[in-house]
Amino acid sequence: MTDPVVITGRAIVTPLGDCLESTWTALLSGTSGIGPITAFDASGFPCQLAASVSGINPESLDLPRRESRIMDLHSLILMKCAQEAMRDAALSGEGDSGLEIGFFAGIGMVDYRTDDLTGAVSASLDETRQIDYQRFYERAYQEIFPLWPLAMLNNIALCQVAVKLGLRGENSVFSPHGDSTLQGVWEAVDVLRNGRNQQVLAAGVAEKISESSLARGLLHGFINVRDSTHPCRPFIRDNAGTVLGEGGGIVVLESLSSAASRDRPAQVAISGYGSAFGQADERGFCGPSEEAIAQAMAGALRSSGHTFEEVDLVLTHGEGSPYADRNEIKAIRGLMRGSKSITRIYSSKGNLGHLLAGAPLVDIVLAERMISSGMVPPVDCQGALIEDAEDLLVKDSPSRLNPRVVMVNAFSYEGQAGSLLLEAL
Amino acid sequence: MSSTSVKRRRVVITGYGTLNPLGASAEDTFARASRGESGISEIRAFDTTGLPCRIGGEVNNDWLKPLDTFAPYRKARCGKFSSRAVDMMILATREAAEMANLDQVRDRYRIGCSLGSHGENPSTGEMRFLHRFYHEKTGWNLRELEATGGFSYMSFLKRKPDVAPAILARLFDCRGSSLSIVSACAAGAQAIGEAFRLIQDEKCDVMVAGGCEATLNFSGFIGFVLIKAMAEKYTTPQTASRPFDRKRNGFVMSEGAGALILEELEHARRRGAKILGELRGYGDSADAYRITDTHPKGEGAILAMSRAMADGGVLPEEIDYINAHGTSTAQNDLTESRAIEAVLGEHASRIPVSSNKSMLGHTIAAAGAIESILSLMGMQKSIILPTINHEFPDKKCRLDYVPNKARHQPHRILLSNSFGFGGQNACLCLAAWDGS
Repeated sequence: MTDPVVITGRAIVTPLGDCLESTWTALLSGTSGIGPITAFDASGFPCQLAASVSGINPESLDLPRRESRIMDLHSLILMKCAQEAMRDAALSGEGDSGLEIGFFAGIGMVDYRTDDLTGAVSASLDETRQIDYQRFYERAYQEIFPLWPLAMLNNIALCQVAVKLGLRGENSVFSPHGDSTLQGVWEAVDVLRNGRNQQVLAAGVAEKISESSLARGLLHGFINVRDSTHPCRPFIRDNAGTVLGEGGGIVVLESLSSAASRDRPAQVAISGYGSAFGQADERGFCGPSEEAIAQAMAGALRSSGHTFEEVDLVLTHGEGSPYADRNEIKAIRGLMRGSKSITRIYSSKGNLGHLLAGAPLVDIVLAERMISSGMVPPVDCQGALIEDAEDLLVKDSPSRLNPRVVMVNAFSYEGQAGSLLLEAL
Repeated sequence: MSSTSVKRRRVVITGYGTLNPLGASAEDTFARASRGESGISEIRAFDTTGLPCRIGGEVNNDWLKPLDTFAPYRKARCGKFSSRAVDMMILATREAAEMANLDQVRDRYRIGCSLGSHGENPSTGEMRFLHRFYHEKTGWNLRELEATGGFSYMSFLKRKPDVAPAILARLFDCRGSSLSIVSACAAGAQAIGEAFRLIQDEKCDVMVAGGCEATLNFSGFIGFVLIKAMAEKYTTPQTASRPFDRKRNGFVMSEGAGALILEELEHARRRGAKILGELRGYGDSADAYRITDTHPKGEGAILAMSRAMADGGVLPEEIDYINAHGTSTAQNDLTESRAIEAVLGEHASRIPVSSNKSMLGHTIAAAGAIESILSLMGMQKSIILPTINHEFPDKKCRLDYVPNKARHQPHRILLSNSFGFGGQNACLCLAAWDGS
């Protein structure tokens, strides 16, 4: 790497805390962020557990009321992380400096809040309580808050951050799963490698857990409805699915020479990326195939110039679903074939739940901390492991592995797989 | 910052296809556009009684019928989980893939898919159904909902933006990077730009890139009524979209899809693919101004255009034509004109600038792709497409907008602009292919 792209700022919000320190401490002690859903009445759903985020409010983020009214939790998390990551990197978008700061984000699904439309629906009801479309078209639709349509656009959260912080560099929004977030991170790396911006924020944030997101996950079939005692156990033989989580994060990236010129410390570079598509099951949407996962991982190795033997740790997608976990383990084992050493694996989802588009960004920040501290927290995975995972998984207690080269995996349910490589400088 | 600091792989176009209100193929669309025809009419897809805007650019339903006989579509049972927008995208991609002989490419892991797509809006029927089980004070009555058989999984699936590229990847056997971009009206152009980067970066050799949108349904339409962005004063549907005209008063919503096959130059040469043009550069930016308004001086647009030219190593005086975003809103057309003047200086007054949206309406995430295709075809045929309905010049919009009639004029390098709600801007720099 002639001038590596490094991390100089970071911020995360997870179910275990509203910053890296609290999340990291909780992960080391094996704390779980998963609990009963309290944001809405989930009693009618077959799963009533989730890893929720609380305590993020617009007042603390200095946002005008008119705009914060259309900001759902994912937008607030993105805003909070952006403000903190910029501070952490000692950056400001004021004046012309914002021209050189790019912003790429993976953002989850945006669901409409039923209450946003209820006024209009109520005003449309006829005497028999049925919706009278004539009433809706002629008057009732005006009950909807005029900026509500903007809130329904997936890109608005990024635009609101850009406006608030003055970020005018290159940008894009990818959606809705973790593979999208990794694509955004790599695009940020590409922008920096080719000198198109000075710094770039790379983000990933999950959608708010709501009746819609829970129903979507349940109908999709990836949520655990069988075992409420152990809602998410990555790489367990009889695992039953995952549990939804909220949260996300942002890293500030720049070239090492730029960081040095600003006297900003940097310990970790992002050096490789690969992605591929292939559905695990011809009948439906249950994640990528083993081959697609292996191709994505091999692509990340190729672009970084590393062999798999040199990878010390994989922060797996490891979501606790049968298809995804088994295919990922097979792909890892396949790449390990012929290797003299084993590559250890970790999954944050047993403790944090599945943060969807937010997951790989949180994992990148955790990977940076693992590299700098040498420690890897234990995976919450009580039960008999998938055979191929037994000697690989970090479990029971924190381990000092001193990883130097770390891979982060993220998948979609539609068949996309992405892998990113980070390494110590 | 300097532009590209490393010599990068060149990216050419070897296929394109589109389905939109003007035509079921790229050639049909270009032929009608070059005659200055409009694809806008009264909306038939849903009842618009009472709405201040009742027009749109609908795709003829008969044009979707070829899907019934498209074997991969039937085999994968796409009809179950595809949506109107994705159906259009599949047909556009089929046209593009056939033109490029995409089947020839052996290593399918080197073919990716990059799509601007926002997923399908919930239908009024679905919303009406769901609201039966929701009460303001007590929330959802799930037991009652379950008793009806529950809500359809397919409706959720159709809402997801990454389903569209996944379907394309499956049907056309693209096993490389698959991404969905959701940058509103800039999404199609950004999807092409991101595909361009993936090829430059050696992640793929070929990319299916483009965008699709089908928002001519109540829930898709009503949002834009609420933000008062659409044309509400018009004498006929065909004259409502009037970019850069003094009497413009909003955009006209349309639906459609556009697909381009982008390919690394040497890869295309090796397999003997016909090269149709070159994607020279890509630039994007954020306005970072206001969430509801574009920057009055068009600063975001200036940045995007400047970055696209710098990326392509093109000087302002080398630009022969600009395919404008030209939405027909008072704000966009003025700020875009100012931005073009700022970027090109005196050269701005010497080149044609036209808006395809005058004929097609605004196809949102598909716009960047369809307009790139028409731009490319214009270069191939030496025809500049017109801005129709340009009757009353706006003193503040001072450029040559190619009013009402197509113009025969050879041109070799152009910019295609796409600016999104919220302030995301994208610009593509395309060049004619001369074999060098």
